[in-house]
Amino acid sequence: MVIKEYFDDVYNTIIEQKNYYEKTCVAVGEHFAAIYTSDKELKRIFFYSIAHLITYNATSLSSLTIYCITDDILEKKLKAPLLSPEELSLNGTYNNSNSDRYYIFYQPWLHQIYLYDSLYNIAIYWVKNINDIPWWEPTFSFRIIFHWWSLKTPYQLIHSGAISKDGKKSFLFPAPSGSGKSTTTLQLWLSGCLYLGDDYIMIDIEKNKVYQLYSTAKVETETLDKFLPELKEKIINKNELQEQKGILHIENLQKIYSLPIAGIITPNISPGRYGIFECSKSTAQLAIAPTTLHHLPHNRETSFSKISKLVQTNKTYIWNLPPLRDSLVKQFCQFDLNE
Amino acid sequence: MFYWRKSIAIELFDDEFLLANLDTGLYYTLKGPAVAFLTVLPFADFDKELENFIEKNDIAKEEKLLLSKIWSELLEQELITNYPSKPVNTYSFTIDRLKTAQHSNLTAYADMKDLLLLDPIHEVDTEGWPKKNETLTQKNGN
Repeated sequence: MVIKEYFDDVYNTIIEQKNYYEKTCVAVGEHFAAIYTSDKELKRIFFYSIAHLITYNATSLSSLTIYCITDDILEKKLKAPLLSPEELSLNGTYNNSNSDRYYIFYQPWLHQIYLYDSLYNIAIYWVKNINDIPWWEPTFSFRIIFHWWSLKTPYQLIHSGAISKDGKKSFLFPAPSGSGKSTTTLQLWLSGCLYLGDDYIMIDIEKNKVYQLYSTAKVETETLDKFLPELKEKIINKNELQEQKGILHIENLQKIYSLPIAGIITPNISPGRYGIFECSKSTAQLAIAPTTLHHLPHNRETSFSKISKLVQTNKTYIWNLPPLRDSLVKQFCQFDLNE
Repeated sequence: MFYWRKSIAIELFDDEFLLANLDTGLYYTLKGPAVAFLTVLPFADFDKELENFIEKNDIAKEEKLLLSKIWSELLEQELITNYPSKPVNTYSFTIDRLKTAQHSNLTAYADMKDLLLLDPIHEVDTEGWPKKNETLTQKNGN
């Protein structure tokens, strides 16, 4: 199948109904994205994690256009892309060596598709029905689209938390899932630090800055019980915790949207001497690259190279996490003062 | 001609190589004199290059054995390939000084490998979409 034909077919189908879509602008890095949604419920679901990025005074033309659509509004129902097993890789990407203009992210076990035309920066998120939206998708709304758009820019999405103590500089906390990233980030946030992100953040590798993306955090229930009990009441999906991680909405986000990066701290929950210590750059790269490149599988070479630059630019540390929050906060405050 | 495979991303951090197989999700770190040795890739004759390297850098005999073992591992893991013609694009690395205090060491990190083994092909309906009962549940959500 030629991906261009599929994109054109989908685009022509959804554009016919454009007058019915609602347009919202959000800040992405130093740019703006115009997001068109086909109904209010869909908008509510997907803007939950990015509502803090909405802007009503976009000062320039949007750099990215996203159509977020369900089948309900379309006169002609969309068909699945006819991709053979050879064309579709195991991670939902399309093995298309002939063109780097069009991108697709399609996991056939889900009734949703992401498409992107990188020439005109037009993206489409299509889901068959609102009930088909996977629970995790709105916790990092349009993540794969922001990734595609960022490929030709100095930006890079990375799987990491980010926190600032003084509002002037930030530290990144990258780690694979289950390695203490969210626990560390949320405990520091509860102690009064500024929250820049818990799961995915955006980096400008040329300016060495971090940008907020999402206001949601995902936490295992055991982690909540053990380390973050005061947040249990704030979990928004209490009835689904058998099948889902707990989802938190970080309310009242401070108005700090981006900050310079002062260092990369890899949390470590293995027993050892507690504290924050300098570590090799490869440790930081191994904390960021594998999960980021797994979640964002397109153009991995480019992402790997950007992440390498981020790591080469910054000081790298490993943090053997103490079990008690008081010690954790104290160690970070002391470390922050010395930096 | 031996050279790094196209799907291998490489970064030199100080005196350490970090290698990523972007197809399989396997990551490796390489330390010690092997790093300096492999900066001279591409080359055609491993034995000749190794002899030159040992002679030039006054490397101990046991290190030579380690380098040969690591070389075999790199070939087995398909990080390095052997192809008759020279590749169009090659990596170019320079290191300030040879680190001999530490023995050559190749470590593999397989954290992401299991995540890449999902099977995306399922029964589909008339419009091509997978049937509902085939939908996977996924708690991780990442």
